[in-house]
Amino acid sequence: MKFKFKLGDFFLLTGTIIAFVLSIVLWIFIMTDDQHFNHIDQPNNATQEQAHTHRTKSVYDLYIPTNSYGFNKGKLCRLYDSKNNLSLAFTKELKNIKFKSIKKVSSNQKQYEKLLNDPNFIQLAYPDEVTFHLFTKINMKKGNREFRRIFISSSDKWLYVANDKNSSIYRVKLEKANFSLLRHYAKNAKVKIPIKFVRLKNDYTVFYPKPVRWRVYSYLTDAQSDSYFVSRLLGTSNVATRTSKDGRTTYSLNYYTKLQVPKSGNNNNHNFLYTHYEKVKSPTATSRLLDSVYYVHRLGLNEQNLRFFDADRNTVSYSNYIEGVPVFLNKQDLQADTTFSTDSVVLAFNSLNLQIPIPLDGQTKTLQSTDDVVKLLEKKGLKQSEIQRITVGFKVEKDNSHEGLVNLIPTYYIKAYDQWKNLAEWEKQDFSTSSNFGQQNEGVN
Amino acid sequence: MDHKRIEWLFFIVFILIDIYLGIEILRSPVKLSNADTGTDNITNIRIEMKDDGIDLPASISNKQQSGYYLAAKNRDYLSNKVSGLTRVSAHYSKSDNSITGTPKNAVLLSTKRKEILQQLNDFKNDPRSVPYGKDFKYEPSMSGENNYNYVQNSSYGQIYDNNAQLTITVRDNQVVDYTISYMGPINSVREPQLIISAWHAVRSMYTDREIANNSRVVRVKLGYSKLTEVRGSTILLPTWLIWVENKTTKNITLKRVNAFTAQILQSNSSYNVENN
Repeated sequence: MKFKFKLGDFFLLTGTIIAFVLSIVLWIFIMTDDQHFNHIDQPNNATQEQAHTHRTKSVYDLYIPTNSYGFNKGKLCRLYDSKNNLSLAFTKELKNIKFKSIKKVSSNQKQYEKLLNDPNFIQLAYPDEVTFHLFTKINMKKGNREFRRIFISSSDKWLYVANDKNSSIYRVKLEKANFSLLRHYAKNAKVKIPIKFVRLKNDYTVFYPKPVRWRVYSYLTDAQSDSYFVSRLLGTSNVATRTSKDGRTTYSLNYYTKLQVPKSGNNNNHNFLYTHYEKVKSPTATSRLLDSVYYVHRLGLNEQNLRFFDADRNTVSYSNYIEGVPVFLNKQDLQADTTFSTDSVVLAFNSLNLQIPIPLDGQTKTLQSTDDVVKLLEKKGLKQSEIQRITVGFKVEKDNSHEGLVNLIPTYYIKAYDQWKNLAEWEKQDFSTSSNFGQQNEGVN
Repeated sequence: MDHKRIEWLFFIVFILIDIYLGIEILRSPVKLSNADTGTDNITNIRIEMKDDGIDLPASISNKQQSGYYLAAKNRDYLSNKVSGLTRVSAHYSKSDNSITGTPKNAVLLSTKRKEILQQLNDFKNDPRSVPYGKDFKYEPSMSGENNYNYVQNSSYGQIYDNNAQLTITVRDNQVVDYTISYMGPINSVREPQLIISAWHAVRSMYTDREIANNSRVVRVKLGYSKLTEVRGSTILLPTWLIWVENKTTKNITLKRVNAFTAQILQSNSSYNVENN
């Protein structure tokens, strides 16, 4: 009897200790979990985090390869089909793919050029370098983790990705990939324009060796009001207004955030400038791309055609792509341009929205060969070694037959000295009197 | 003895504390930093909708698809077809650009719905009875007991518009008449682009308060709707068509969500630019 009594005591003591310890554990669990909610009050952290959690949606939408290349009768061609969007087919497939490993296989320029001209691959290209980390969390042992081109092989188990700047080629092992639809689209693409890749300052650029006839597209446009962007970017309370001598109004919220809106009336070029002062740690290439996505989303622009267009050391820009061709607004403005520095983020953006596509009326424009463009620029004093990129872009021209109607006119755009200008603008440039043109502009970006 | 009582007291108090803490953890609020596309968020909105008495189909796809801007040239495709309709008495109406046809010989139908559909299919596919009939596809959501509705089909998808519709009226197991309107051949205006998922469209409608409480989402389908008329063409865009039934009145309304922008398409919001 006495023994039983002692055993009961033992169990009671043990039970009490367990209940006591358990209550402490549960209490700690609740307290640490609550800490999570304390972050809600810090808008910067929350919004940055949101940008990253959104990434599966945003990144795929803005970071879609803009052009695809393949072979037709042994000749390298730009592929285009108005019914089947090759880049989109790839992006859709990308969502299902599992990346098993990424391994650098070469950094030899000859090998690189051989791959660019290898008929066994379909090539998808971004307009500039992007990072692996946008798409996969696989850690790379070596290399700078950037690439511009994707080479789809005849196997679904692997592909190559490649970086123009350092001629690196990476072999990526895949799981659950199926590119048969993409191969079918590439084989049957309606438009195949012969091209060649020419290495300019840092990258390989598409050259059209013969004149090409391009379609002129038309759109009905609209634009959101100033107040729309003021309320989205600054909120609705405590916003101060100041108008400068040149007639441009600046709205500001405290000392750290301001938005300059375009002139109203006939001179409205739809250009806005948003500045947010904030100490930022020097970001990585991936975080710069992702943060720019966050800021672009905050603008509330129509993102249907918006794609990643260009990235320099501190800037990431986005442009509307129509049928694989970027649209330049006004003279050479892009839809959104984000510049990061150690103490601020600056967003230059344009509110013009290509709202409704108009059926083609058969209008076309023939552009001279890219070789001729380079020769012309050399004559004017712009050396080929100074040209960073050349692309066929659309220039937006108002069509007076209807309000809001614009025509997209194909034009050559050239990037040199870190500036984009169309051919006519570069032709006007006087290089002889400004031999130090390059140095003058190096500080701009 | 007192010592033992105190031990019991401690034991019971801590057990109660544990139970309380356990319940608190289970009841812990929803994390606020979830992504919109996260599965938790989907579950939460589903729960919210259930609380509002809104029933959803068992599965709504969360997969993004692609869609086109389409265009059809505004022409009279029907008036010159009347003379070829030898099996019906046909009348062309210029005002609404449609043909009404009444069979000259009775078209008898079965009593079974499946067989009726087959018989009506044969009837509409005969160019002597119905012009462009092969371009039309049966749409059960828009059909009733005596009305069989067909929508214009294209290689890009179906068009849901009054100007692209075939309605066959049936009574006493016979075809009474039909009315057809036709938009003409459909072409894409630009290359395909990503569109929102069906679930995204339903969620947008709910958050925009376009789905009333106590209603049932009967069906969600991708179809093309008219956006505007420009330069003598009708522009169509991909829309998520959402059929919503009021649980009390049993009325079904068709709502449309722009599949590019997730905005609700108001039936009165036309961007009419030029009629020709």
